[in-house]
Amino acid sequence: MENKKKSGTFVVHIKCCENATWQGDVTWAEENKKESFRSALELIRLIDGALDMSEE
Amino acid sequence: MTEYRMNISAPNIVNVCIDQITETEKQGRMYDCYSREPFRFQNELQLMRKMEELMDWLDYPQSSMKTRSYQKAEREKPADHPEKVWSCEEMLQERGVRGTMVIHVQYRQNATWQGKLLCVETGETQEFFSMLELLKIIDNEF
Repeated sequence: MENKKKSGTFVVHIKCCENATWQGDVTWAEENKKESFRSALELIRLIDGALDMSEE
Repeated sequence: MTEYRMNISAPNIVNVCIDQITETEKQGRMYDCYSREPFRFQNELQLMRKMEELMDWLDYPQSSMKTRSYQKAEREKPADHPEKVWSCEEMLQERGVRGTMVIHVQYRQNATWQGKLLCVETGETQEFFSMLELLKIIDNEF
């Protein structure tokens, strides 16, 4: 079973939609870290990775 | 013998069996050629993560971009000589309670996936140009 993940706050800014997906940046509010993403997959991976990190 | 309107000899072909659909999520099993044991997923996110893990492990199709992360993350090391433990035809015999789809990711460009999805029950093949589109197709199908 997956570990219970902590919660997190993310501010997502979608700047454009190219290649059938989203591009923009996401700010992890608790850590005040900003990363840009080039696809929805990358956005999901960023958020998922951040929750994994806050779990430790 | 079933005829599949897609290249079923690709190493990263997966058979996704949907067993249960809740209000917000789809649950089921994912089969690939490298294990007879299915990967059981509770939602689409787990399925997507597992598919990406498989493709990184196979190093196929090679990703044209390195996925960004808040932390420098180690990428899954590609396998030396991944060996199939059962044939694709055999693997594709598995069926889901609510539906079955065969997904073939052909390219990983623009930090996302491009490929084809075959809905086994209807025999319909649809193309997707990003993972977002793939998710939308799955959402519309079930």
